[in-house]
Amino acid sequence: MKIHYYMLSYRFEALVASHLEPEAFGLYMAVGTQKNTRGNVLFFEIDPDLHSDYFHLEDIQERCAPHKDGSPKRSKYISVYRVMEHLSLSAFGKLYLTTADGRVINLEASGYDLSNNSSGPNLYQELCPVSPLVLSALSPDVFTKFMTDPCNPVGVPRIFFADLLLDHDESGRLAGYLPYSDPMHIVDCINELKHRRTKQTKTVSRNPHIHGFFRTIRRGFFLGDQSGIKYYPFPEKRHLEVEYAKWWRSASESLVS
Amino acid sequence: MTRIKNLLRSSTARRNYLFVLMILFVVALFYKPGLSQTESVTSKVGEVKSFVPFALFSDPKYSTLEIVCLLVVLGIAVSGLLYALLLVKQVFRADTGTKKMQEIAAAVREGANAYLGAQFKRIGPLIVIITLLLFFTYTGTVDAFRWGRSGAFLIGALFSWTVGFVGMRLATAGNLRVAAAATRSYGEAMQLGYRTGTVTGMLTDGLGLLGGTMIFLIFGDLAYEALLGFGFGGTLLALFMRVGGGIYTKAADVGADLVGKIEKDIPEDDPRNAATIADNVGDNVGDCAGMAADIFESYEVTIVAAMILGMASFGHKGVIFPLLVRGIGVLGSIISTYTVKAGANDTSDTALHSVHRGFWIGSAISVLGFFLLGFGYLHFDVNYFGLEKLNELSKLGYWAVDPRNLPWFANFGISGLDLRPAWTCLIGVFLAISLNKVTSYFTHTGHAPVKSLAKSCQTGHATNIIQGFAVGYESTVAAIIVIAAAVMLSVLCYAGTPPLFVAYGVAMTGIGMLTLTGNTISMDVFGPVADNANGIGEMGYEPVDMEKENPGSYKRARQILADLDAVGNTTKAETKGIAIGSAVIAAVSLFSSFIAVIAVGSEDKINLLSVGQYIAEAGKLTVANPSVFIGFLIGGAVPFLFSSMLIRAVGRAAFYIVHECRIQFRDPHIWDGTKKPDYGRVVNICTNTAQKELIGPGFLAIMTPILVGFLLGPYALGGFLAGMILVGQLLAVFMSNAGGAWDNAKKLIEDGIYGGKGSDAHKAAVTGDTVGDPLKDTAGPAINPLIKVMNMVSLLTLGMVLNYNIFSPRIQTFGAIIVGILVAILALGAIAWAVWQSKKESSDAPEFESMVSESSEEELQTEDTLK
Repeated sequence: MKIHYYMLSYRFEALVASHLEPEAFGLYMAVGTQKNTRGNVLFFEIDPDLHSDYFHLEDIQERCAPHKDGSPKRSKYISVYRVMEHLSLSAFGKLYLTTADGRVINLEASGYDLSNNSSGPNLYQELCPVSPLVLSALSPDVFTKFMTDPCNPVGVPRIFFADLLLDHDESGRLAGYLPYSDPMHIVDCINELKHRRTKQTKTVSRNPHIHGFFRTIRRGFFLGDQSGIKYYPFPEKRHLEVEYAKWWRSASESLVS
Repeated sequence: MTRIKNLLRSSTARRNYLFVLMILFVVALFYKPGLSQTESVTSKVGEVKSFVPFALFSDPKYSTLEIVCLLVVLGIAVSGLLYALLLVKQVFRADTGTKKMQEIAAAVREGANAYLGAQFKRIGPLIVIITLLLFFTYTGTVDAFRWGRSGAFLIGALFSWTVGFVGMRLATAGNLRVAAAATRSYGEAMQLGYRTGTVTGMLTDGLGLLGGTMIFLIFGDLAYEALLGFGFGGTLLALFMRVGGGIYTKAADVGADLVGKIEKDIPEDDPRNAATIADNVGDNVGDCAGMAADIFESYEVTIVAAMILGMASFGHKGVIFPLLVRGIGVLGSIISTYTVKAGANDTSDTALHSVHRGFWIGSAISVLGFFLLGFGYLHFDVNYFGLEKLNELSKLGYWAVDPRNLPWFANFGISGLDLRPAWTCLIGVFLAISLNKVTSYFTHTGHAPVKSLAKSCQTGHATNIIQGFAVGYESTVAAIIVIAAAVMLSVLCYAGTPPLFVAYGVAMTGIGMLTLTGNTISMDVFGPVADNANGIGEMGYEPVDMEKENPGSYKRARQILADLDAVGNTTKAETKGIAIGSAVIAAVSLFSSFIAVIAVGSEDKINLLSVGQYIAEAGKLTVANPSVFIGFLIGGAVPFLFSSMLIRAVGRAAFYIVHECRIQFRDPHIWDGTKKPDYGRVVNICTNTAQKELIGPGFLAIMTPILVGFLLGPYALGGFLAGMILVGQLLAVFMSNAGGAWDNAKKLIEDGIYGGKGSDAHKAAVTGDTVGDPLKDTAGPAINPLIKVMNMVSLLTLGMVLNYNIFSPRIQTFGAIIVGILVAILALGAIAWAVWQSKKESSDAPEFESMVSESSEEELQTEDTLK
C-alpha cells in the first residue's frame, strides 16, 4: 500500500504517515476516531518521496505496515513537535481543508500576486506553529517576512496563517455576518493600529475561539518563511456554492471551530 | 367456519374494522331514526320527545328557500371536496424530479404512512370503546339519539383522521414536486406548494360542512345530540393526532439536531444523519396531519356550539345561519386560494404578499356574504315565534318584548331585520386577523420582540432564555386582550339580552373566525411542504449535474427552496394563533351550554331554559363556593401536567434517537457516504415512542373532567372548566409564541447579524430554539384540542354527573352513590396510570444503553489495535 505523508497544521502540528488517500484521511481525522478531534482539520499533503534525517524515515515501511487483516494503517504519527520548520517549503503539496463533519476540499498553491495587497489593516489568523489572531498593517508577504525574521524576538522559523475578512457595514462597524467573538475589541485594535503609525501588528487575541472559520477566509492561506511564500487561494463564494456545495454548506453551518 | 375466522384475522379486516363499524353506524343513523318515529313518547308542553328523520323537509316552519339553501350548502361542501380533488390531480400531474429525489420522498412518505397506520391501530380500539360507551351511557329517552350520538362520534373521528391522513399524504407527494418545480421557476414551486396545502384546507372545509349539514338535515332541531358526538369524535382524534404528531415531530427534530448539528456538527438534512428522514416525516405528521385534524375539530366544535346555542336562542334560523355562513366561507376559500399565484422571478416578499392577498380576498368575500345573507335571511316576525314555539328566554333575546329596542346597527331601521349574528361573524374575521397580527408581531423577525431576543443572544444562552420567557409571557397578555375585546364586542352586540344570546354571539364569533379555514390550513400546510422540499433539495439535488445541464440552476433552485421555506415558516406561525384562539372561543360558548345543561338537566331540554334558571345556576359558579374553587385550581393545573407529560415524552424519545444515531455514526462508511444510514430504525423509534406516549395524555384529557365531576359535583366541574380554559389558553400562547420567537431569533442571526452562523450568539440562539421546539410544536398546540376535549367530555357526561356524583347527586340512592364512587375510582386510577406511565423510564432504555456501551468498547478496542 502506498504511504502518504500528511502534515497536520491545525489544530496541532504533526507529521503523519497513512495509507489513506487525502480525502479519506481528512474524514478519518474529523470523524473516524474517538480521540476527540472535534472541529476543523487543516493538513498539507507532503511529498511522498520525502527524505529526512530529522524525521528518521528509514524504517517507515515497517512502522507503517498494513494491519494483519490487510486493512490500511490510518495514522502513524512520525513527529509531533516543530515539524513544519523541518520540512522544506518545496515538500508542501496541496492544502486540505476538512470540516468538522469530514467534508474535504483541497487548495493548490500558486504564486502570490502583489497586486492583491490591500491598503487597510489585515486580520490574520495564525495557524501554525502558534495560533494568535493578529491585526497587521503589513501585507501577507511582508507579514511572513516580518514574522520569520530571525531578528524578531517573537518570530517563528516558518509561519502558516489565513487572511480573514474585515468587512464593514454602512455605519463603519464590522459587518454583522462576521462571527468574531468580540467585534468591538477588533474595532478598538484597528483604531489603535491606525493611530499608532509605528505599530505594525497588534495581537487581537492570544487564544481566539475560531467560530465559523471557513466563512471568514478572505484571500486564502499563506505558508512561508524568509526563503519564500506559498499562497493557497480560497475559492470565490460562487464557486463554493456550486462546485463545492456540500463542503461549503458544512463549513458555513458549522457550530464548532 | 375456518374461512370466516381467517377473514376476520386477515390484515385487511384488522385495518378496516373501524370503517366497517362506521358503515354500520351510518346505516343505523338512517335506519334506526326511521324506526324511532313510531315511538310514542309523552311530552310536556314545548318538550320535544318524538323524532322523525329528515323532519325539516316536511316541517312547515322551514321554508322552501331554507331547505333549498341547506341543500345548496351541502352542494358547496361537495364542491369544496371536488375542488380539493381537482387540486390533487394538479399536484399529482406535476414533475417528480430525479430518481434520487423520488427515493428520498418515498422514504419520507413510507415513514409518515407507517406512523399514521400505527396510530390508527393504537387508538382504533379506544374509539370503538368510546363509541360503545356513548351508546350505552345515553341518558335521554329517544333511542334514535343513542345511535345518532355514538354514530356521529365515530364519523367525526374518522373524518378527523381522514383530514389528517389525506393532508399528510398530499404533503408527502407535494414536497417532491415542489423540489422538482424549484429547478424550473419560483412561481411554479410556490403555487404547487400552496395548492398542496389547499387540498387539506378544502378537505377540512368540505368534510366539516358536509358532516354538520348532514346531521342537521337528518336530525333537524334535535341535532345537538349527534352534533356533540360528531364534535367529540373530531376533537378526540385531533388530540391524539396533535399529541402523537407533536411528540414524533419534535423528538425527531430535537434528536436529529442534538446528534447532528450539536454533537457531530453536520448541517440540517444531511443524508448521513440517520434521523434526517424521521425529521422530515415529523414535519408531515406534526404540522400537516396534526394541525389539519386540530383545525378540523375547531371547525366542528364551533359549529356544534353555534347550532346548539342557536336553537336555544334564535330557534331554527339560529342553527341554519351558521351553516350558511360556513357555506359562504367555503366559497370564499375556493375563490381566494385559487388567486394565490407567484411569478417565475418572484421573491419571498411578493409570495407572502400573494398569500396574504388571498386571505384578504377570502375575508372580503365572506364579510360581504355574511351581510347579504343577513339582509336576506335574518328576518324575524311574530309568525316565526308562533311556528317556532320559542320560550320566554328566546323572546327576551330580541324584539318580542319591543322590536324598537334593537340597536340601530342591528337592523338599520329595517323592521324585522336582526343583523347581530352577521356582526358577530365580522368580529370573528377581525379576531382571526388580529390574532394573526399578534402572533406575527411576537414571532416575526421584522418586529421588536424577536430582534430583542436575537440581541440578547450576544450575551449568552441564559439571557436568550430569560428574554424568551419575557416575550412569551407578554404575548399571552396581547392575545388575551384581543380575545377579550372580541368577546366584549360580541357581548355588546347582544347587550341587554339573556346570556344564551351572548353565548350565541360568542359562538358566531368563532364561526366567523374559522370562515376561512381553507386559507388558514393552506397557509399552515404550505410550511412543512416547503420545509420538506428544501430537505429533498438538500439531499436529492445533484449540483454538478445540474450545473452542467444549466449553469446557475443549482444555486437558483436552492435559493428558491430556501425562500419558500422562509415564507412557509411565516405562514405556519401566523395560523397557530387562530387555532388557539378558536379553542378559547369555542370553549367559552360551550361553557354557556354547560351552565344551561346544569340548569335544565340535559341537552334536549335546553330550549326550555328560562333566564332565571340560567342566572341562578351561573350564580352558583363562584369561587366563593369551595367546590368550585377546588375545581378551578385543579382545572388550572391540568394544562401544566399535560404539557409536562408531552415535553417529557419528547425528551425521552429524543434520548433514544440520539443513541441510535450515535451507534450508526460509528460506521465509517456512513460518514464517507458509501453507505446509507438505516433511516427506518429511527423512524420506528419515533413511531413506537409517539404511539406509546400518546395514551397517557389522552387518558388525562378524558378522565380528569370525569373525576372532578363525579367526585366534586357539577359546579366543581364548571370551576374546573373555567380554570382549564384560562390557564390552557395562557400556557398555549406562551409556549407557541416563545418557541416561535426563539426559532426566528435563530433565523435572524443566521441571516447575518451578531456574527451569523457558528458565532457565540448563534450558539445561544440554537439553545433557545431547541428549548422552544417542544413548547411550540408539541405541548402548545396540543393544549388547543385538550381544552375542547375536556369541554366536550364535561358536556357529554354532565347528565350522568348530575345524577351520580358523590358530592350532590340528583338520584339519592345508595346504588347511585356506589356508581359515582366506582367511576371516580376508575378515573383516578386511569389518571394515576397516565402520570406513572409518563414518568416511567422505558423498558427499552437499558437495552439502548448497553448497545451504546458495547459499541464504544468495540471502537476503543479497534483503536488500540491500530496504534
